[in-house]
Amino acid sequence: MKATKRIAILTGAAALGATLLVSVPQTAGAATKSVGCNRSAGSLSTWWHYTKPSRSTVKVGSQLNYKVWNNSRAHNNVYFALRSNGGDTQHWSWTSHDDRKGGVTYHGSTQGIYTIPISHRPYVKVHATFDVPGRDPSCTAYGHIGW
Amino acid sequence: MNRRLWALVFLAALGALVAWATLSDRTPAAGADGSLGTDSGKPLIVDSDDHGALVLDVASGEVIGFDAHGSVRWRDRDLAGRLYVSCLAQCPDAVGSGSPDGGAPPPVVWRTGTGRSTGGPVTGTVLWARSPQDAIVARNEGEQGLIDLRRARGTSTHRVVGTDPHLFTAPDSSHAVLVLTQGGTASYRMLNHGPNGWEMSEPHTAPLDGACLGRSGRPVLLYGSNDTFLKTDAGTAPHRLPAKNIGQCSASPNALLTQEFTGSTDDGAQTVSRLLDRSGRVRWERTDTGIHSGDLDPNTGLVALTADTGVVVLDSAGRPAARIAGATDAQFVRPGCLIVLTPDRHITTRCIRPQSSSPRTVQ
Repeated sequence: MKATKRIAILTGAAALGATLLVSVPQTAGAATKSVGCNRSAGSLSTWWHYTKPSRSTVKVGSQLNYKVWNNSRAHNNVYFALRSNGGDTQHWSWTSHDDRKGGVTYHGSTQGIYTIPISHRPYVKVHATFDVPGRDPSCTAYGHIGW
Repeated sequence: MNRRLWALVFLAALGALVAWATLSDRTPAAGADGSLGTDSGKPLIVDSDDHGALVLDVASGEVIGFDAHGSVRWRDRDLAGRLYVSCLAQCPDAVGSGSPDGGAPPPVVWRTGTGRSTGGPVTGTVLWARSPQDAIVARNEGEQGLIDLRRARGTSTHRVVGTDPHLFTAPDSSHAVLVLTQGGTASYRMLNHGPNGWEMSEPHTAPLDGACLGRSGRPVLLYGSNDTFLKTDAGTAPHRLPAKNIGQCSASPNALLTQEFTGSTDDGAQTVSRLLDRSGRVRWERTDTGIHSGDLDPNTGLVALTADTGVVVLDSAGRPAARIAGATDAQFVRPGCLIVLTPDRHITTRCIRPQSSSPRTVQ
């Protein structure tokens, strides 16, 4: 009986440890939602769709969507690049004018079609410079495409 | 007393460690600091049939040819860099061609039995082939785009307008849809494989990205970023579906599997899979983390979907029929039977029987 009670206490302790930590990644998960490109002066959210003409290729060229938030000013900048091979190949890049308004969702496109083998590990690089009085801070984020 | 307290602390820490190990089994699209991260990519099945499979090992940058017993027949680094890689009449015999961004196509790589050759009589990008003599090839002559329909009795060449050709074939290779980019839109042509080889229709202009076809070419789903059309029977007009942003699809006589691939700097990559009935109505839908090509068995209607923890096989109602723990990819090669790829680059065959009770776990 005493041994059973001791086992129950020890098991409970292990379960408590697990329970305490389970809550940490959930909080971190919520935090990573804005980690992509985030500074105290603002955040950049980007999302895009693409097709897979085959299991080993991706085709990029339709919509790229982006939104600056946590910054209500009117002179933010956004940069996109479609790259592969660890950055050795740049398929396309684009820099916005100094007029991206915070809170507005913009839709763009690559102005071309790029079919890339997944073996080349294609990815998107995004960069934002946030409009603040004085020196503008910036952030950079990356997203894999198809792998 | 102190020893007991330390034991409790130790066990609490152990429990926390186990929980962390369980929850951290997720590959982020990018590092939490916004960097590209160190994920080298999981291996995936490029093509397969009853005789073997082609596996892209993203980490090593090789295509691996497996026979039906799971033995490695060859490894090829050049094939991994080709845009189009597919099996010939039987896997793992293979052909690879084409270059990214529409550059001049490199020599075609052929893998037949234990032999390997590059170049040869076929120049251009091989969109489909059973052999060098039975193939569909895209090539350029100056500014002019050409499609060669190669057959034993000779080659017929067709002039086409557009770039970035993609061919989408029915599971029985009886029909296909050729999509070409043309300015800000696209054009497509229907092809059928008759006794005299492939024949191709006149072009139709439509803003399409791709297509999928069932056996004998029916049904056929044509999709672009904003437009989706379903044609179920010969002689009937295609009707528009409300679906958008389809990234890939596969078709069986009675169902269509569509998949939407989304990348996001906030949420990483996601795949939304939907099973449609023959009228285009959504039967079930689910979202998985990561980018995973699903596969629809044209015979049983089972769907194999890859998730971060393995492959789940779903029936036509969306109920799990089996789970294959740890698998990184799977593809149906005969009715109810899958070629399954493991993270350590081994392949096995698993057969699933749809059942009404709880799902089977296949180890």
